[in-house]
Amino acid sequence: MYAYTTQDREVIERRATQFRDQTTRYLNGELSEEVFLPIRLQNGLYVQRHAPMLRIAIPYGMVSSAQLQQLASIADTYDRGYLHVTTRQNVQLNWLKLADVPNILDELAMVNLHAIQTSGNCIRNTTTDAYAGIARDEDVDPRPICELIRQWSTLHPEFAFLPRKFKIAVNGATEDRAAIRFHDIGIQLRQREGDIQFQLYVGGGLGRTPVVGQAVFDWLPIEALLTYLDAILRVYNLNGRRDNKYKARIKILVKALGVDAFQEEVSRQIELQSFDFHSICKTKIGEISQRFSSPSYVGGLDELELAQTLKDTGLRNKRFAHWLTTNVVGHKRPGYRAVTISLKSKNNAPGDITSDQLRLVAELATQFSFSEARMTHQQNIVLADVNGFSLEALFNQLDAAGLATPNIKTANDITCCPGGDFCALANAKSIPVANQIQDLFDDTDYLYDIGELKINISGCMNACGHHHIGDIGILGVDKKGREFYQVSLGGAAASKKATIGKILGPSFSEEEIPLVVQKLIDIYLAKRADGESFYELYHRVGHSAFKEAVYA
Amino acid sequence: MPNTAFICQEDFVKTTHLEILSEGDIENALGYEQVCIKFSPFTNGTAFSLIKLLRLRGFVGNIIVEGEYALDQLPYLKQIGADQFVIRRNEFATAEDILSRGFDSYDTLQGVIR
Repeated sequence: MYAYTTQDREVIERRATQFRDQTTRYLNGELSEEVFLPIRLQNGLYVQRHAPMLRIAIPYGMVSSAQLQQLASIADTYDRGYLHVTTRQNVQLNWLKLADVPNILDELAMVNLHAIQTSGNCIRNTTTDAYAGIARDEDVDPRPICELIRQWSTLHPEFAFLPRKFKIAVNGATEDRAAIRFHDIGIQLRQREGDIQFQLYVGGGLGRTPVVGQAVFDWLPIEALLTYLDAILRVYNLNGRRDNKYKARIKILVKALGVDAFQEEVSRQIELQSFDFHSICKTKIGEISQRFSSPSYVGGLDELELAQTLKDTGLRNKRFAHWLTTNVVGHKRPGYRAVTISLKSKNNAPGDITSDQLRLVAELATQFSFSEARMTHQQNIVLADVNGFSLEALFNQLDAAGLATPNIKTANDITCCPGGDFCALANAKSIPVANQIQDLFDDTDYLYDIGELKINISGCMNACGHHHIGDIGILGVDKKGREFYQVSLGGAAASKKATIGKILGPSFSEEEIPLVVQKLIDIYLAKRADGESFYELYHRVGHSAFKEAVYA
Repeated sequence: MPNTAFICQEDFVKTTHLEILSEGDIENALGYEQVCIKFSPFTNGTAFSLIKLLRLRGFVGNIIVEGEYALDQLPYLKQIGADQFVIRRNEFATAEDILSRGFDSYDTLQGVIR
């Protein structure tokens, strides 16, 4: 994990002090509601259905045991003893008092955490692969680049009042696990003859107008990254639409200009840059990389011996065997594994975790994974560096706390926004719908027979639950004051097959949704070829096969 | 001693200033000693990039900010290259305080103009 410098800490502390002053002036009536609105939003503070909600940044999902402990303590002191992991790898507290927020920010700053730019029309938390640095298919560790972007974008004086929010994701592996083509800017990294290069996808995104980002700049040297980000943001800030918030994202600008004209505008801005961004960028990446600690892995672990050990354990403990299959993945270090802690147990709001569970995760991260954990954009938590011979001990402790639900990447691993139960923007509830769908899969043999299946639920077209990119996407809509749900099929997040799901047809009531999902899965099971995924089958047999069966 | 960063709205006369409304005005600005950037409304951050562009294009004169900007934007405006700010007479103390609380975050990476 990146070790913060004095400067990094000072930025967080000074912003907390500044926000305390702003909140005091607002509460005293010296700062208008209108001006306080973007200020509080840029500090992650929303006014929600029941209470203010604070979104705390977890930069590119990396979090330490000490930070997890502090989050648990804050959830107990100021909230209701739990928090929610978001699809931008952040966490949210839902039941706060505005007057407490300055104190919370001070307590977060003690462990280098903050809420800077987790909302508002500015550059948001950069997201990445939850398996960054350990994945077997990784070409470049994206985290130093994410940290570079974090520093560049933090309180950037030019880009704090953009036409609309701006999201960046970085991927350094062969498989895109960061959904880079569904971001305002998606960055793919690769290594060539020892040098890092990047490719930029621009103008992707979900929300009201979903668009698959296009490759706008191909394979440039990494020291040119800030040159391009700076120029792209300036083109957007100068030319993005401000007359209609639904047409204000960069995707609309790129479409309106066309890729060629957009490239020209960016090139023109680059020519004007007077400072040597290349050498600043190169030096900074070097400094940042030096500050990333490298886990002291145990050497000489025997993969064959480990495989036998895990097999033997699985034979005497079926639950462990299931968990090993679904929640544990390979690691580039021999003998190590990455473990996903599912926050999708039955009757739990997807992504919610109690403070007691959070403290346990902190302790387990210390005991088993070099005191680090990662928040995933699928709303789970990863312990990335676990010695394979310790997996059973880890499983037993997780299982005792209800944190070993063996369902990662299955139909039960539903990505879901807080929805109408909490969010003021939502048209419909999403958590109860997720729970009802999970009820379909009580039989784990059935769940495993279905295999990998992505279900995403959003309570409104802002698409925080990423419904466009699920195999099955569910969107809450308002129909004459009643909550209905629109279903879409065949979406995919990864860059090579990036697809926006197609709407199945007229929307359904909440009660109808489990039956609809059941019918869709029945068709999948009946028609799939050996090893064929839902996505592959959908695109092979076509939309009408599903539509006819559901509306018959 | 009064803070020279602030111009009282009542004393502000625009006769010798060119108003920068878009990127197209920047070429003309290069011949002026001072220019004016007008915010409307404060959430429209185009002005920040116009100030930055003026500096990138080599404008060395005085940049004055007026209009509906928020006092809490003063630190960002100063960092990006603005020199003076038109404010109401009763805002001086608050404006000075807000400006003094401003700080650079990662100015080297952000190309902050000195």
